[in-house]
Amino acid sequence: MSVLEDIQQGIITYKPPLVKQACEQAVAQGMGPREIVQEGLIAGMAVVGAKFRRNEVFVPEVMIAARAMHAGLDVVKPLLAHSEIEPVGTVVLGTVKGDLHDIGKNLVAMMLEGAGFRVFDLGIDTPVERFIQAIQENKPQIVGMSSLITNTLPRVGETIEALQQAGLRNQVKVMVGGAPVSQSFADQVGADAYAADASSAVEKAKELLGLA
Amino acid sequence: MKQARVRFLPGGQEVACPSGATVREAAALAGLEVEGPCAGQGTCGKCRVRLSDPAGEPTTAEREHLTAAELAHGYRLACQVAPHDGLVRVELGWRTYRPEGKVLLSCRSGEVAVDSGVRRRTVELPPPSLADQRPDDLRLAAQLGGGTMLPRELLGRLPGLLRGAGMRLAVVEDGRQVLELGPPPGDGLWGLAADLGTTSLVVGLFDLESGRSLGVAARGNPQARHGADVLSRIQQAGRPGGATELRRLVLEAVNELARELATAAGGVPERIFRAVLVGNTAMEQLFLEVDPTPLGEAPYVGALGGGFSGAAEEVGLAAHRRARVRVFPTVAGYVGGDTVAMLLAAGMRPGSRARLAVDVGTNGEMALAWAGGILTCSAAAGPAFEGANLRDGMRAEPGAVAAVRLTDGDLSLRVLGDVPVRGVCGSGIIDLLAVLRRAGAVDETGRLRSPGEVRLPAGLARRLMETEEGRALRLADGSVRDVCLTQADVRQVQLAKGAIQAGIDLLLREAGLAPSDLREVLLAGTFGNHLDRKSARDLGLLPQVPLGRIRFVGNAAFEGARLALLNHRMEEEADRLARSCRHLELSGHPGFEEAFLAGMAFPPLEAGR
Ligand code: B12
Ligand code: FES
Repeated sequence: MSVLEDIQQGIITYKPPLVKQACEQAVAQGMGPREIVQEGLIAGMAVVGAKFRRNEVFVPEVMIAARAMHAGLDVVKPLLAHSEIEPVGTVVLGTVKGDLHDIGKNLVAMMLEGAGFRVFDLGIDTPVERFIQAIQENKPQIVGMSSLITNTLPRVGETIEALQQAGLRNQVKVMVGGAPVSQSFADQVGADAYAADASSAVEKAKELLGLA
Repeated sequence: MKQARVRFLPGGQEVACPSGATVREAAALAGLEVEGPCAGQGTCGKCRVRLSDPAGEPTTAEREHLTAAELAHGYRLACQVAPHDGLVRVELGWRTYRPEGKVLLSCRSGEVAVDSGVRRRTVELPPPSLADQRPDDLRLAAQLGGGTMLPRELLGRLPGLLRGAGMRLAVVEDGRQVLELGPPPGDGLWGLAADLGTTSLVVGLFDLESGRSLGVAARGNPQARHGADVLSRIQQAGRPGGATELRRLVLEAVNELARELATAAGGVPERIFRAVLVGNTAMEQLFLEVDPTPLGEAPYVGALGGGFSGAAEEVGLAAHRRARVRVFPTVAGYVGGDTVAMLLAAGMRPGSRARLAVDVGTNGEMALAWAGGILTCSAAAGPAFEGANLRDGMRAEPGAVAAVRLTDGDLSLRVLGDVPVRGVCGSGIIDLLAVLRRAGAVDETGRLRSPGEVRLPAGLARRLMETEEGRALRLADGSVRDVCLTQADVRQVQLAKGAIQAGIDLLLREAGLAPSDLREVLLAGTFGNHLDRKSARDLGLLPQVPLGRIRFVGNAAFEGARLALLNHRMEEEADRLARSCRHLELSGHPGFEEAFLAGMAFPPLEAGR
């Protein structure tokens, strides 16, 4: 088995130490960070993501897989800094004001990172001003909002409205998600994309940037 | 367009359906309620009905929840489809047909020393004379003892009463407050205890002097038409007129039950001189029309920490107008008066015998009492145990699979009522998963295994199938639609179980205890009492303790209300309990995510349990 396959296997079988070890080995062999990330880590995560979408694996497994991937990224990161690799895109992500659920949003963040995005996670209970400030500071292409309770769904529309008023709406694509969110809700509040789960979120994000 | 008429089956009720009205709305006009946890938003897919003449194109929501075959057979969602003209027959089936039935419940009651503080006596007053010119109020006070408080209205009646009734007066008092003077309207003093549940209301009538139960009655909470869970009610309360309407619904239902019980006991509700009501924080606030909106958003703060105490007249309760109505104190936004009542009924107090009490519901409430005090927490489990987000999930109603065993290599199902299998209810789903786990058909991560992967008993293997939506297990055949457990259903149960398990786990950790330290695990609530203890424990929903330590405590919330009604010291104890509980907030808890992820897995199988 090649070292890249080892990396993938480590992710698919949820073994962070194996991934770390295989990544170190790959670096020692002189493999470029881009190859390790793309062909090893991201490829492995894609397999897990597809299984997740089919319900074959579930949240805990995806979490461990994502952690395994991050264990690998940590090994490669120092090299990445010196290389020409640019993130696929930048995403600002947060749970809306009034809602404290974050597990789904965290999963989305990890999967996006796994697919090569740079993610600024604003955490939970995020007021509109924080979204605006983060957009101004980090210039993301995409803003993601998560709401898990129906009662805070209006906050999604209000935040989009506020982006409009701040003159930022045209600079970013808005992606929304969370259990009570649906495509029709997304259309209603004028979001650009909706995804039902974390791996679809990655796909939608790529679509928004014209990468898929 | 002609107006359509709709006839509902199996009941045969017929109504004219206003143009554009949905079947769900037509049903409401006919006095029927179609089950629909999402209150007609088209998101739950539970309001499936069959039409003789399916009108118009299915909506997006209908396409999402119904297969092409089902649509072709006339199945539609009641909240989406609007009959256009002619007579349309609508089969509600057992699944959606919920007559507003009233269930009489026997009350499982423990011993309590009856001392409600409400009493009556007859006083004999010496007639006024030139030699004894004491004013009427002091004349009465001298007989009743010092400090007695007389309401204005009774004071107004006093001169007439004293002179008309030959100086003999019947007095009803609650503590020092005089509630009634003159001949009481009957000879017993009655009290009312009620559990205001999100799903159902339970009301009991008691004799305040003997403590005897005069009847207990229950019915669905009519607020359910505005959504099954508390959050949708909170949302409804925020709409114009919403809070008033929600209060009216619950109040009228409680009053109706009170009147029925009083009539059955041979009297009138005016003989009710005390009432104690408990509910979750939102239900209590809705009952009193105290705006519950803040409960819907972080930081989830309620308004009734101390509960409420006031006259029935002010509350609008069908009772003697001056009867004192007590609404229980709450611990937190999602640990309400019903939990306090459960603690009271279970006798939870700090002590060396560590005890855990759990009410498993859409919102799971749990409390741990040990030497260090009492800790509470609430974990939002979601409606999986009520069947709302499972493909063929349903409440424990006719047609529901309520228990499952493995016999001769195949599933044997216990179905409620004498009807074909329509779905699975909470206790059934727990049993089913436990059976599948033991047989190896579900692995530790919750994945349904394929027959090729593991040797399964033949009957079980035959039930497994691959569908467009993933792997599934067939429970019963239907002509158009089989009743199944899908992989996605297992995932929903894992989320619900994960949340409850994480709550229990974090409580134990906070107290520095291990599951084996628990001397007793008490299960309260409707779901808890129908659960198979072994199945629940083997799935990890309950802590890993010997089965003998797991005990059902019935409707503990109602029982707590009864205790406080019959003994005023119990009412004071409830206040003390509410204030002494320490609440562990799980939102933002640093250990939650780990515990939740761990809680979603199923424990490894152990031989010989
Ligand atoms: C875990 C949980 C909690 C945890 C939260 C911990 C945390 N750090 O997040 C705790 C226990 C603290 C909690 C609290 C509350 N919860 Co809660 N909770 C849940 C539960 C069980 C699972 C949610 C979850 O994590 N799912 C797993 C993740 C992976 O899935 P997900 O969040 O849906 O995310 C996926 C997709 O939606 C999508 N996605 C998510 N975000 C985004 C964003 C973008 C941009 C995109 C593209 C995609 C996307 O991708 C994710 C991964 O695939 C659900 C019930 C259920 N069965 O679903 C209730 C639930 C969400 N909670 C609910 C509620 C109401 C609450 C409370 C506010 C009140 C309460 N007690 O009921 C409280 C807060 C007050 C309190 N402390 O009591 C309700 C909401 C109901 C409604 N009508 O809106 C639910 C549905 C349960 C219920 N029916 O009662 N909860
Ligand atoms: S889908 Fe019709 S009531 Fe929920």
